[in-house]
Amino acid sequence: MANFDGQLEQTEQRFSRLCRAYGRSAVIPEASVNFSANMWEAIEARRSSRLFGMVAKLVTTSALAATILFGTLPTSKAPAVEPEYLTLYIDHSQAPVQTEIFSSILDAEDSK
Amino acid sequence: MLIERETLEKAQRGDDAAFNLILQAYRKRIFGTIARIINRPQDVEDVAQEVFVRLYFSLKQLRTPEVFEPWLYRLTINASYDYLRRGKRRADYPVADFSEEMMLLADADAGTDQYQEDRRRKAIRDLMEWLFSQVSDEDRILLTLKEVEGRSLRELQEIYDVNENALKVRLFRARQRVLKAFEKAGGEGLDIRGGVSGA
Repeated sequence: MANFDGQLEQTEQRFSRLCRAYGRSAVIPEASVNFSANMWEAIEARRSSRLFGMVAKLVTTSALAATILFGTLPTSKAPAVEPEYLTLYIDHSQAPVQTEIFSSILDAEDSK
Repeated sequence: MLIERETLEKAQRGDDAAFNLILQAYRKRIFGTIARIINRPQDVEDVAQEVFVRLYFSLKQLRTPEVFEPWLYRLTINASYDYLRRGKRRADYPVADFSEEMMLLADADAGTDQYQEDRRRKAIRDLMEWLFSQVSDEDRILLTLKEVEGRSLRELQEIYDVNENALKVRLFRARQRVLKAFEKAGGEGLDIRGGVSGA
């Protein structure tokens, strides 16, 4: 058991040494001359897309709010007005033709 | 902190010159941390750029300037984690391929010229890459910060925003998992010398 523990400890120590060696061996690149400029470009690009996103969100929210508002508003019904007709067209067409006026004109012509 | 509190507050108010000062002060450290986590020098700049862009847009949310550094490292860890998760990093080393590398490592004292040293360093990087590919990205990042960068428990507590006991448990488990892989890779016979103090 003691041997096993000792072996485990050795493995752990070796692993720790490997980690430290890796820390020293890691290749850490220098920032390129354009790093700062590229970063500001990326910031500007993201700022624009965020602004566009905000506007789009605002428009969508407003449209949604308007839809909900108009949907829930009580619809006001105008009172139904019954049309008042004195006579219907059919009644009028079926009525006897008023011939009195024509008779009087014809009589006047005859007397000439 | 590497910067004045006043500089940080100016940057929070949208002063781009102050933000540039933060960038200059922390760039090297952030590059180092990212490089050790992702082990891909060619992608370090992209990840670092993402860290600083995220910093720019979230700086106003920082309430207490005292926690700026842990907070910046949290952003760094998150950006590195996103990179690892996207799968840009590939560790396609079957364990058997390490036999030659192991020999190199074991033979660290044999070569003293630059070429030998470069090969030894590359072997160490490749072995670590393989080891870290055997555990989760969370374990990889935690172990890199603790074992490779040598960050204290207190620093890690601040970065991860967890209590000491929870952190110790996470570290212990992560270490156990990577040690299992280390043994599988032949870590018992591994001898890493070449300037490792106390080895």
